[in-house]
Amino acid sequence: MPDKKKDIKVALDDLDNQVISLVGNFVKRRKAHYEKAAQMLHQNLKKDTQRYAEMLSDKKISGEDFEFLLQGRAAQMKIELLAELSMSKVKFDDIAMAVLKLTANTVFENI
Amino acid sequence: MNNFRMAPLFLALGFLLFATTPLLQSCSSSYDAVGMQNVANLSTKLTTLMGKASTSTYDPNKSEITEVAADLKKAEEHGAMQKRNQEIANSWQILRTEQVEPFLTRWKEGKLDKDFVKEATAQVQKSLDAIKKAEQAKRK
Repeated sequence: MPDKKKDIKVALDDLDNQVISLVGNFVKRRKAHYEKAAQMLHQNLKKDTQRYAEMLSDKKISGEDFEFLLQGRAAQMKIELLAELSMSKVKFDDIAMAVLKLTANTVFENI
Repeated sequence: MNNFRMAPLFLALGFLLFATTPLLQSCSSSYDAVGMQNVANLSTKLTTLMGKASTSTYDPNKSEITEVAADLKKAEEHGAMQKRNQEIANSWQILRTEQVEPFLTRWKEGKLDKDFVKEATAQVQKSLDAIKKAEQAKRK
């Protein structure tokens, strides 16, 4: 039985690297995701602002309408960023669960 | 004898893992059917109502406006009551105070221009789409 105890300790110690690599892979993946999401949000914001400016110069909307649309667009951007943040929190919960499962499985395999 | 002495240790470890698994799950955002229903309901009602601002004045639509505004407030309150849901609750509040209410205030002044209404409605629709994405990301 002391051997078993030692086996479990060794197996759990081996997990350190696996956990680091699990989190490291996730963050790398999410970093690319955030950069892409930020780029997309910025591109959409530029496109919309340009369209509002064209509508203003074509006199399709008033100056007041233009200002209103810019403020509304800023609100839309805030909501889109909050949605990204909310989704990333769910992903971090997934990491916690993955680490727990990895640890639990390793212990049960060695009992 | 050794086996017998190790048994409580493994038993305790088993209990610990058993106890922490649901605890971790309860800490994470879980699927919110009411939240999803609120997004679906308001996506239709709110954008349909806003579309009317270019063809009709505020007063004839007053009862519908009151109903949709109440639904929006309820969705915000529901979001605020959920655990670990701060971002979605804040999103509902921004939608109400920075997009919908200012639009309704302008509508009170008279009919609005068609192009302006189209753009303002599209902004609200995209905000609702973002809230829907955040709700869908929650674990079922």
